[in-house]
Amino acid sequence: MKIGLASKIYCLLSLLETKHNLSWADGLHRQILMAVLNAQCSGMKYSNQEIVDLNLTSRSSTYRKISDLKQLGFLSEIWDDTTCYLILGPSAVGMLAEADNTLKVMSEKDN
Amino acid sequence: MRKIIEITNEILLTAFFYALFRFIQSEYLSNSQYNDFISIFYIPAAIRVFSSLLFGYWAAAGIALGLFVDIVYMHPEQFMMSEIIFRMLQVAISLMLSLLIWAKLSTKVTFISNPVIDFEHINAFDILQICLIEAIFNSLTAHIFYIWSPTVHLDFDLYYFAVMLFGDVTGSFLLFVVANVIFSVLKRIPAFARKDHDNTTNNQ
Repeated sequence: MKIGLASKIYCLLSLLETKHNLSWADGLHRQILMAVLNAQCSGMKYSNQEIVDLNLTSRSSTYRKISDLKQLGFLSEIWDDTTCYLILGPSAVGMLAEADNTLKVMSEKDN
Repeated sequence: MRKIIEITNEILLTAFFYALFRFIQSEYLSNSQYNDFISIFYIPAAIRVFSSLLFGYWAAAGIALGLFVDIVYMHPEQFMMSEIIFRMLQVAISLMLSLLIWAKLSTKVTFISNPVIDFEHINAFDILQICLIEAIFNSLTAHIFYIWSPTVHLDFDLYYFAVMLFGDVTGSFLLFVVANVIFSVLKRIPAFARKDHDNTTNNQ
């Protein structure tokens, strides 16, 4: 398939990010949040250690990001015996509800 | 006719960037020069690699033209006309040979006479592979030129060869990494995000 010059340059310049999963500091919060959200959607819960095991970044950096997300209300903790699990916090739930309402309005408009 | 204009543009674009990068190298990266001809971090090598990936064998003409502009007008060197022609042929041939060898070796390149690269599936290791091949051929042919040239008349030295090879690989591959990092950061600047949002809104 013949592709244009702009597409070739785009492929070359975004190669490390797309092909080698190069994570950036500003994207790590989002990746952790997405991991928790995906787990919750499939009826699972991740512990702190399980998030670290996803190898999104180093152990210390992952803990820092989790702490940031908790502080901002995007993640909450629940304890099961001695294990601390992470679930979506009130801010994240609020944002999801807001997005859900927007989607409902849009779908009603389309209909 | 359209094809001729397209190829001419590709050659001129490559020549412009090659001359520009040689200018940057000699004006601002002189610290990395090992001697007058050899550098441990040679950024024009990146233009050689990426122009060959983007434009195929035609990039060789652009590189030769860019080199001509640089050594004749921008940083005149005391070469005879025969040496200038030999030097231009050297960079063009090394680029064409490296692309040919890469096309033979890589599974992501089809057709050898007019290589078609599968941009959707290449990865950083493929880029490193072409950088290495290009560095080997360029260092080899450049050394043949330096040994032959009556003006330079360099005796073959494996250490010089290794330094030049290293300079070409670091220049091309590190620049590729840096360009990727800059592009990733730029994509996260709100101005870019706003543009996407505008497009989405318009689509809606």
